[in-house]
Amino acid sequence: MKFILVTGTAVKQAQGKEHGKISEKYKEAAAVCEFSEEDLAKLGVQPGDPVRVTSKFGSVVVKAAKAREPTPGIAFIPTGPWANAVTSSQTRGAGIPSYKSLEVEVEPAPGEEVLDLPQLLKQTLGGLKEA
Amino acid sequence: MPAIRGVVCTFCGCTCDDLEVSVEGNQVKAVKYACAIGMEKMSKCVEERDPRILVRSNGQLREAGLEEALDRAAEILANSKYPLLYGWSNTSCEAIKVGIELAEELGGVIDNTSCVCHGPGIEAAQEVGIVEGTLGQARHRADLIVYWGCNPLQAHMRHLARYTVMSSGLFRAGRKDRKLVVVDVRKTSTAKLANMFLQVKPGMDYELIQAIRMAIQDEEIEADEVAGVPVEQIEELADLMVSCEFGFLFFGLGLTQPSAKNENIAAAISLIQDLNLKTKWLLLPMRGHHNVTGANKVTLWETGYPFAVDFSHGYPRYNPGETSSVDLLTRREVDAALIVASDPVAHMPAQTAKAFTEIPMVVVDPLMTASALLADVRMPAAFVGVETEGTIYRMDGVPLRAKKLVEPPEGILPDKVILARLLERVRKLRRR
Repeated sequence: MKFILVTGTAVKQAQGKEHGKISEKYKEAAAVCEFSEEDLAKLGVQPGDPVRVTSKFGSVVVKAAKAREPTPGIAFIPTGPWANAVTSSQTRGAGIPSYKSLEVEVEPAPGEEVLDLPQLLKQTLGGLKEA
Repeated sequence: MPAIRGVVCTFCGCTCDDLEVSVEGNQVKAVKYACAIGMEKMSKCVEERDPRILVRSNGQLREAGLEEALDRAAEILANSKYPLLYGWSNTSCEAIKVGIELAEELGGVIDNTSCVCHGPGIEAAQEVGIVEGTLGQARHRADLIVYWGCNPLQAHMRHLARYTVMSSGLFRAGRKDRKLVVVDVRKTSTAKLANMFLQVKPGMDYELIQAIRMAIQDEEIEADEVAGVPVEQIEELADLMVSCEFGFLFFGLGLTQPSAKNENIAAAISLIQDLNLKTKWLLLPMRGHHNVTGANKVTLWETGYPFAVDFSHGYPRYNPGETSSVDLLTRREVDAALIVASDPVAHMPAQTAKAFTEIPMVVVDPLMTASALLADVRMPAAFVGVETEGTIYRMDGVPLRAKKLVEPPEGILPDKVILARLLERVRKLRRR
């Protein structure tokens, strides 16, 4: 199912960041994708179920969540490494990448794991410089 | 022990300077008046710090002493032909100044996190000028506030209460004396408080701004809607903007980050310039990190440019798109990195962040970050505004003094000290 992805700051993600990016609190707050109730129903998922979000630039599994600020058709992932698995590096000469208004495909991902930060980096960056 | 008054919060660009902090036994015990995020930052940031100094050997990070880490970091930077010195928005102006000296010494690029947040606003101001003001002007005078592409109730939680619609100023008593307009792609928490909400279609802010400019000039808009907003609502907003006594537009990443980037902000500034022919209007970006404004200020007064400054020719050059971090990394042009007080591995698109796996990297940050996981040298630093003092700039360019509240753990130094020692070592190596 197609969505427009918006990434941005959210209170819990910002609080989690202050505990360090490795913390469970940060993962719980940042490795989520929020949808309106109607869109959760259309996707056939419950809050907490894993969903796969895919753009032209990458793919990531995060937990579905009920949006506090629901807008049908818009998927929201808090700023951070899970969101950036699918954002675009294109700066169009302005120096800034495109973090908002990206077209993404979202599908239920039953049985798939939401990776913690080191695992996510290994997957999205292709390694952690380990020998 | 009496509470420390007038403490400056070092979370977001609001840098609220009215906090009261109680300290007992070198620990922050209570924080008054901060928002939920500021409370977490000021009272709990030290709880999950990893105090280890780490150096990579044989592919694995291992504990090391500060001298070994500094030697290894200096070697990485001195051997680099074109290093990137990135971050700076979560530290003091004093640390940033040392960073600029280091970039000049190395012939590298120094860039701050503006390149992933409000850099487009700076580029737009260079293109069309700007009509900025201070938060004090908003508090005391504004009767119409517009938040465009920002959601302060989630990201700048006290902005409304301290500086805008909920605040009580000299000439405005509070909410009853002010109107609030929100423009966003989502009906955000802030939008729910608004007198008027315009839900713009994603990526179409530029079209909407230009339509409002037309309505302000009394030009006919030959369409039923623009960017998903009915023309009647656009005309209603134009009337509201023209008829207010003192308007203030705050814009966020919802305006800088979609595809029109700097052109969105140039259009918004032009709108404010148009409005100033009819009444009084100002605008400001909602800066995120507590000293990202300071990073721009220090870089500007030291080099002549506010971010993305390249010293490779022996003098400062600035050309976003060419000398900006995301472009340099995506094109794989830099061959080493020093990351200070930020986390680009987490906050840049993965295709860009992958570049950090291919080059040696030194990270100086109080917290264990995603970038630190990829570091070849990781040096933890003291928290600015909690464990060390320093100058920081509020989002409207007002400088404030962040206080030291507690002593850092033994061996944890302020980043300005770590950087000064690193600069000294780099100079010695390069003069051999």
